[in-house]
Amino acid sequence: MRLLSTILSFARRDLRGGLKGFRVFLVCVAIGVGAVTSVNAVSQSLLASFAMQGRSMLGGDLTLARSLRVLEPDERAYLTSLGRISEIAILRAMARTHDDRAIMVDAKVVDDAYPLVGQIALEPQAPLSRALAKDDVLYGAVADAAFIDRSGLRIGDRFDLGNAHFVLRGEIRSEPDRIATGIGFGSRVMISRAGFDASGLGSTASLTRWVARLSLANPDVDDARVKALADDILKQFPKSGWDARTRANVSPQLTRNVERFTQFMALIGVVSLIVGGVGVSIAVGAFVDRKRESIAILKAVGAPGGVAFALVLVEMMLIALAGALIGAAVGAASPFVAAHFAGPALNLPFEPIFSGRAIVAGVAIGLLSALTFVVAPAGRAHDTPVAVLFRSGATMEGGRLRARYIFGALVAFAAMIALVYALSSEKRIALMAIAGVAASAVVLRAVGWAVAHGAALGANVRNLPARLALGNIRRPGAVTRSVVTSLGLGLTLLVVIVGVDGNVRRQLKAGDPGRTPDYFFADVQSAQAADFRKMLKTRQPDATIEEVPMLRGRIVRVGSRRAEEVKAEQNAAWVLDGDRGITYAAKPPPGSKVTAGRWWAADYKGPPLVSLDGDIARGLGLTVGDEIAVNVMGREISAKIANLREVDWRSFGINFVLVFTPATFAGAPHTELISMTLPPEGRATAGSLVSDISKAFPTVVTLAVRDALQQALSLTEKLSTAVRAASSVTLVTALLTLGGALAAGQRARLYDAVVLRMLGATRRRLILAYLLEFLVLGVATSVFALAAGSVAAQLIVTRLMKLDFVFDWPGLAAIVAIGCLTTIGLGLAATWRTLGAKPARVLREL
Amino acid sequence: MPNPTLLTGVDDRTAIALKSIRLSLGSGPTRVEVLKDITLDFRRGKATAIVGPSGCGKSTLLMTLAGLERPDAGSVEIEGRAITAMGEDEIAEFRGRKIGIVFQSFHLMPTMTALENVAVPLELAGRSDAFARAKAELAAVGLAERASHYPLQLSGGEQQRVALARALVGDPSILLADEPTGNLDENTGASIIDLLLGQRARRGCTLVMVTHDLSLAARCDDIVRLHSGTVESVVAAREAAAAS
Repeated sequence: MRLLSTILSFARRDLRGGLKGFRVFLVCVAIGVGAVTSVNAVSQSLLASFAMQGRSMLGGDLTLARSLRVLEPDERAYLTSLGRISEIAILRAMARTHDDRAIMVDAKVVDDAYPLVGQIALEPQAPLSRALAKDDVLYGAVADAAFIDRSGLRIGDRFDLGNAHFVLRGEIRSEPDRIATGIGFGSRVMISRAGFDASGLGSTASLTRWVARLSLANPDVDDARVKALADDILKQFPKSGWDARTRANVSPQLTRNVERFTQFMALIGVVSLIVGGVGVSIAVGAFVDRKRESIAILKAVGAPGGVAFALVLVEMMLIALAGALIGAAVGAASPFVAAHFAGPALNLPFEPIFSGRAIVAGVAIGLLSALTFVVAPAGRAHDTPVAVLFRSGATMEGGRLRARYIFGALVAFAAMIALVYALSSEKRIALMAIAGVAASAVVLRAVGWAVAHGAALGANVRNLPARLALGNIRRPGAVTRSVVTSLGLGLTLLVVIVGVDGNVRRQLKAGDPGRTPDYFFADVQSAQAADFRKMLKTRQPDATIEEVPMLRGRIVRVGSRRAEEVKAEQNAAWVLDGDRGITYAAKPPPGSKVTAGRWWAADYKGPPLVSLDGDIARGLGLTVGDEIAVNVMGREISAKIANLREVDWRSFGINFVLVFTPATFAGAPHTELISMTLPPEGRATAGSLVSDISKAFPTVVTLAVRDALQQALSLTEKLSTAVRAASSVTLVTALLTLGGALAAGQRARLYDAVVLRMLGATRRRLILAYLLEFLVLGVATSVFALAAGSVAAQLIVTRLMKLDFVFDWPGLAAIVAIGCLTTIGLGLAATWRTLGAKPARVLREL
Repeated sequence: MPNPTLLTGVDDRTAIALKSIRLSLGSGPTRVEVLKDITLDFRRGKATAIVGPSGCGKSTLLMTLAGLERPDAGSVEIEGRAITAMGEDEIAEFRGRKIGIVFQSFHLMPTMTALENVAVPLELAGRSDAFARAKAELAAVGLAERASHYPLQLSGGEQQRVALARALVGDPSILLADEPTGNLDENTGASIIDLLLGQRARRGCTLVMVTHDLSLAARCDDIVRLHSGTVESVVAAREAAAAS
């Protein structure tokens, strides 16, 4: 205790002189902690907002949803006994304007009780019931700005939905339950139940989802009670096929996406801490070098090596703590800053909160990262020879670092990884990312070593600037390993992001030419399928048309467990959220390959079998021979998994996660899903065909794949901007580290420059030597980043995303150029001072 | 009182001529005038020792002669060329051709071998025989066997021999030495001085050497004594020896 107090007292005295030499250290820790804390704090605010506003977002305390079936009288009676209820429907349909344009919409059918919670705001202001009421001829409708924009309609204009005629009475300015009811590729149109009944869509739309909402008589009960009540309702009506949600679980998919995105961004923050860690390590090494005489004096008067180490460690960790607290303060403020500047653009409920959890996590990760990079260089203090007091010289010979300090650094790193892992929602991806970063750091260290030793091999070149450059690269304490490691990691991350982002965008822009359909037509009734096909064939004789039966069903059992009890991996969890499209087939669908088990005989008539997407099966913990049950139209159907398929989703063609044997649904009502792939020359006339289809088959829903891809592309671009902004933090840290490394090596560089000028070297020659040195470092670093980043991007794109990978050579070449130019630019900027130094003064001081 | 000078007027016997040199170091309240109106000529082909107490400006004067320190006022002429009127790079090139310097702390490049260190001035001058000459020069100082060693692998005496070889390799007409034995033991120092003076005599170059060691100064032709930034006396070494 007394020793600690003495060490703290020494540290305090030492740090009194200020933080000169530690600015990069401080900023690196602050940036890393700031990034990790900010991302987590913003995410916590978002999730807390979902929780706080869960009731209005859900439209009640709990909801019960299922496809196609409205509440039965006994169900309605039971729910009414628990509180107020409202029943709405959500479906996709085609709206037709008076000039025959067809627009896909996400229609919402509401009853008089809607909304149970919250308020709908309309422009012009009017009660919703009046806006949706029928006048002599037309039913009322209100729509969001996206529909008004796409349709070109104005308030008071007519449009058709199914077989009914509507008048647009207002624009929806606020729809509190919009997230819970979801908006896909269409835009929102809200109509009354009477309007819906008149449209005829109720009997044809396979995608109609009926949602019963319950507002409890006493909404102050806690969330656990509401959950218990939902479970109880499901037990009361075991055959209902309801997907129950409570106000604490408004949109599992959105929550998962927020968590997933948060994790990804936080991992970038962790990479930034690791990159900055190199800067920390350099600063500590330079500190130990600067302080070697003080340390030697301490040892000369009786301090053991361990105390010398402890003193350096304590001082460095105090600085790390200061950096972490600065970063934490920035992180804590970020939700409030985000709410002020970006709140409206988020289009989500967002109330900033002070997140203690995010702050503690950020500071802890930051301190463990700092500890990882402080322990080893601080360990050098242990063996500082007292002889330095009797010996002059610009550098100190470095001995082998004691094993305990290497072990200590490894333990600190393992602790940091364990913490990051524990805090991750997707542990497998977190582990892969950390392993990738750690492997890259190790390989980069080796590349740095190879560059330094390669320079040693070329040390005998007779060209003086080249020899100076190579000498600087390999000298003890050279910036080589630091530059290669930190800048290499930053650039590698950039290459990965550019590689992944470029490939995803390319795929979304073009799809898979020749294989990606141009249009999907849903809700084609079996009775009208022949006429529909005929119309397509007549108008587009060269088009490729595919047709599969489609039903809606919800997975209710996975193996022996109820679906709601299954803890699925994140990549598979979405299949348990509500209804999914399912189909049946005698042969394996095109674009899929059986990877386990066997496909059934074409004339198979036995007990139900199902074919499952292999990735989803793994995510649900299922394999061939297990059972899975789906609820279709209130009927629970159990099927044994006959085989697993690898589905090629890249073409965006028709494919289903669940494909059953044809006999499973023999006689069950279903619709057809038809895809049409056009030859290039057919695209010019496709617009008029869609318009004519909407007139001839008003209940058929048309999805233009190109528009859908465009919307996905637009979302991807927004996310990609955020990811690039986060990764730029890593690059800034890498540049700071490079600056710090150059500053730490300035003493030796200054010495060389002055001696050379004493011997007759001009500034031009010195600049040429520096240019060569930084060019070699820049090229080595960038080439590694290009190679490692491309491999990582290829693995992510082909293995995780299951997309084709194409090298974006111009983009990647630009990164290499940026890497080289940055290294040279920063290197020259940092060494410029040495050219103007007064030789006599420097020689006098050294 | 005017400063005493060894020679009056600049002629072909003068290697270095200092006129009214003033130089201050530091800034603000810590600024100190180190050299105060020094006018001094150094004889061509002769060895001159600069002596005086610590802090009197000996090393600063040597740096000024080498063009490594620019005076606030006055001029430095070396073999008739005013280096005080030259730009930084012009001085560097001039120094590379005309001046060899030996320091107390050796100032070798730690990343270069002994041979490479010696070759640097010739390489800078664009000489194709740089390494052959460097090798010969290393042999002349008795270090032919240590050519591929790095400075950290050499003893202090060996490092100073390398520094001497580097100073001499370009056949400079001026050789400047700043306490060349200050970091060496007595025996090693003596051998370095023998080597330094022997090489100077053989090549006939002008030597200006800063030293504390009066017995060493006595081996030179002339002795300049500085005191508080002014020239206290300039005497021929023989006269000084006779006087003592």
